Amino acid sequence: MEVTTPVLVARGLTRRLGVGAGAREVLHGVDITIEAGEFVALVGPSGSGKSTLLYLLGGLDHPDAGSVEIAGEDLARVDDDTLAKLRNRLIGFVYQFHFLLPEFSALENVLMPLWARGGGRSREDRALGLELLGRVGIAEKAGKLPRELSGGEQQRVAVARSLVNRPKLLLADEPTGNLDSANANAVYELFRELNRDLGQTILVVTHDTDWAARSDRILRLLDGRVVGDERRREERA
Amino acid sequence: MIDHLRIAEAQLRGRPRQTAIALASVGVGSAMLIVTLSLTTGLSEDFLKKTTESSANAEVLARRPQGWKPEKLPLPGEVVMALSRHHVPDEKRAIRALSGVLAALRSLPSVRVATPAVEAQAVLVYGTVRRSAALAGVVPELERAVTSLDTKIVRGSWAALSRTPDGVILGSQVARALGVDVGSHLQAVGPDGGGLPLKVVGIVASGLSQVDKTLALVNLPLAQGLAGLSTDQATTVRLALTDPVEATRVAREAEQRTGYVCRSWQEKNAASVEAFKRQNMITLALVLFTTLVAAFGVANVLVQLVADKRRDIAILRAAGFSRHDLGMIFLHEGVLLGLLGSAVGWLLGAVLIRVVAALPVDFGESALVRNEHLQMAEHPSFYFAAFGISVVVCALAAVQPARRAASLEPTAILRGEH
Repeated sequence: MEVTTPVLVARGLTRRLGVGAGAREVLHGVDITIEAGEFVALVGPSGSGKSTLLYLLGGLDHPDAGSVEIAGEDLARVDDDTLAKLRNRLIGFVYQFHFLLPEFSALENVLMPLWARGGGRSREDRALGLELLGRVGIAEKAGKLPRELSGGEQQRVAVARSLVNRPKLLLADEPTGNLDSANANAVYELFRELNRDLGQTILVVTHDTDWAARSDRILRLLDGRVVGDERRREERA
Repeated sequence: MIDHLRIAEAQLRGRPRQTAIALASVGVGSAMLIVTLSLTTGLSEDFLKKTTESSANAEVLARRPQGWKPEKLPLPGEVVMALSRHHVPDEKRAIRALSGVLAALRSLPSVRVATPAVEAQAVLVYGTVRRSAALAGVVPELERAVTSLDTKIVRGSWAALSRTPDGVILGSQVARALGVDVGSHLQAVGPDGGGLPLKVVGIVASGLSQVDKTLALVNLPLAQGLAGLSTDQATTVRLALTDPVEATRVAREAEQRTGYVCRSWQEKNAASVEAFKRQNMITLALVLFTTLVAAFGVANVLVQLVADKRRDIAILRAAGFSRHDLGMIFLHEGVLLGLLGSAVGWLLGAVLIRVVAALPVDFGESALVRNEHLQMAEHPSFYFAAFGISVVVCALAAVQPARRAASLEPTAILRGEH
């Protein structure tokens, strides 16, 4: 796939956490550009600011300085409600823990981001949800509640949920951190497939060196600064 | 349109025990409100109903209205002779020129029946037993159009009074106190001392202690004689109106027309109605506290729910739900608890009203109103009031938890999970 348009452009991202004497700067002017269709791993030791960066890139948090543009929309310049709408339209999230709504079935959890815009109830939406569950390999579990699914299955539901709004950018925070190696590998394959087949742009925060090694590009974060940007796509191709 | 209700409902369903407790507390609060409204309204309605049944819609009294001047009253074409008289101390207080007054009253379009009566305090004597009574001389055929006492006869008959010139109809408690029954002969001693032989022809049980303890109805001429009045004099004229609700307006008209004070049943019972109102307000205020306690229960459940659902709230926010949406979800939960809780309250209230109404009670002879059961009123308004109050109170109880849910920062929660 030809990589041309930037999906994500972050410039000079700075973020302080904590208050008063305990406040400290976690990110010191981070610049990142991710092109459409890239499969990027963000790696770094604990406390390097990976999750903080991910939340800023995903519009879940406001930077103290700098800007984040996703598909041309500046997330740092909009109010809270507009930001929520942009998150809903542009970004998909997968977390280390599956974070499903326990009272709703797998299919309903997948459709949940569509509820936020008043959808998720039409026949088309349900068909899309089922298709996504099929893509992650658990279509037959669509009616099950999260507690009736295994950890791996729950994470697959979470992946399907992150895709339902056809996001420009899929952000994942240690998506396999809570899974055994077999399930972790399956989730990796799933991401790889989404990237390859759908051209889905993916940024994954991971500790998993194997996962990082298999991505197109590795961004290394240390003490709140990007210290490495390694493109591996050509090698893989 | 975002389906806040759907998420709210699912979250409540996911916490069946806490939800059930919240519903029960709202239900009990709203049932208490319904039952209290039923009880207090039932008591005052019963009192008023019995009072209006045993008294006229309006009564013309043997008193002149304040500032009354006879000059103002000539009817068209009538020659009026204005006599200036000083008050004669031993003159009987009475409505004079009764036939003229009756004619004037009967000419009013709102007056259905106007019937004279002579009321006098008397002592009834039966053997050695003496009881004071409110002796009233009436025209039996007309009186039955003015009050419903004829339907409250428990022994003897109303018609017998017309047939028996010296007949008397007694209140049930007077009869019991004297130890008399239908057919008994007794004496009535008037204010001036003269004794009058009477024969009991009927006994009335109105349910109102004031009436049953003092009533002694005789024929008008007898009472006129006992009170020392002429046949063209009476102490009151009782009115039955086409529309009893209009009684106060008609009373003013009657005063204008006759020059005598006229009191509507509303004016006569104003003090009782006011007392009932005050008492009902106090009771209701106390019961509203029950609803407030239920509101605390709802608030508690929702605060707990917000705390338990922090992670879900973060997920919903991350997926694009706005702060407003999150607030609305929890507000909907409050409203939902109010709606379902008041449905529980409706059922519980309806059952309790029936149970309480079926319980036998006896407040004794000194009670204002005598009944074998509590008189429970049941109006749709009680249910709607309980419904409205429960829903509003529960929605208010949800405001703080909803604000809290709306203010949660998703990153703080997501970070905390790591």
